[in-house]
Amino acid sequence: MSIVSATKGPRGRGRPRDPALDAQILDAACGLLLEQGVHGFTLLEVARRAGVPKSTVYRRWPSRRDMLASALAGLVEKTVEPPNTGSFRGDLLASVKLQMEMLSGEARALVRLGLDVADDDELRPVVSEALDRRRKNFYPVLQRAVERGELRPDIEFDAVLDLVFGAALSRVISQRDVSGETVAEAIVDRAIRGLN
Amino acid sequence: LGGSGRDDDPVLDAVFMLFMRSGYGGFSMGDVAQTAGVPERDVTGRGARAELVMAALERAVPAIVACPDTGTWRGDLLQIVLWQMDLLRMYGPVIDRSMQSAQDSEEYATIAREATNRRMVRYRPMFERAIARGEVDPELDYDSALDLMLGQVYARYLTGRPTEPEDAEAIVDPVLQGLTANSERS
Repeated sequence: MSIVSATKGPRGRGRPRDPALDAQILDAACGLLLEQGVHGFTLLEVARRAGVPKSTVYRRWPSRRDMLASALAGLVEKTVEPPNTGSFRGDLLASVKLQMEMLSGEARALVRLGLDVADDDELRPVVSEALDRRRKNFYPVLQRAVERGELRPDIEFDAVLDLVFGAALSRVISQRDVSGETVAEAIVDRAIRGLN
Repeated sequence: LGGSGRDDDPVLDAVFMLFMRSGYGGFSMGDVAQTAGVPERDVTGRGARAELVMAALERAVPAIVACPDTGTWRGDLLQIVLWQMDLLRMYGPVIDRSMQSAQDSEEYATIAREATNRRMVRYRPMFERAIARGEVDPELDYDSALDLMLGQVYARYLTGRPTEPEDAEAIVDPVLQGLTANSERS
């Protein structure tokens, strides 16, 4: 199955490119990134996996960083539609479950990438922007909750998302169970009610 | 952060270095002995792989498992958030390697879970004191509370949002108060 369903065109120059070949290279890059992380990511290995000459990759992505940014964007593009259940609790519950599900797959690799590039001033923003874009997809969920009078209007959306997605992250990072309804419900109900 | 002692220990230093380089299953006891410059029996005599790796991690990453006791519930939560910020800032790559090892090795996943459980148990007095002071709902589920608190630091860190000491209040207070429109408390 293709990892990248839609490709953002790399910055290209010269003759028109074959979009199918772009997607093929990007697929190889995403696969490599998921398997090896940032440190094992080289354009040479991307070319090998895509079955194309190195120069074909370099023409499309002139630097490792460009290729890496496109691969990360490719992973993020797989984001699922945010829920719209009609209630704030229902949406939060669905969002947390979705997050836990994603963290069992490709999102887990993104999290690992984020941790792995902590000391890399060039790559860290690439990963954090990718994760941030993924998260901002959920703003409409919160906007609807404010409009329905269910979510306090004085809380920043980012803070709410840090709260519910972070709790899922915390469980995944510490190797605890994220399956089942009970864990997600406990997190959401406590977030809604507060810790006092 | 409380330190756990940094006396010379070439075996645990070697275990930590090899764990970071190759992951939980990526090195032998012979590799440890060679890296540490000691006979292999000095390594195997210290315990099995699981024990050595946990000892090496606990030694390399300062004891973040101390339980705060500031006198207030909010103060204790602020303290664990500050510790979590330090932990991520200093040891993000260790956590990454730990996640990868858990993915590759069920044995490591199990010991990582046990380490988390020990951390949760060490925090228990903080909850008990807050309940005794009447600050906290006695029904509070400790795991969820800690996930909501510590998780925010992970989320901020990974999305490039600020995790400086002055941001700790912005992390703690919305959770204390709850998110719903009718949950604001004095």
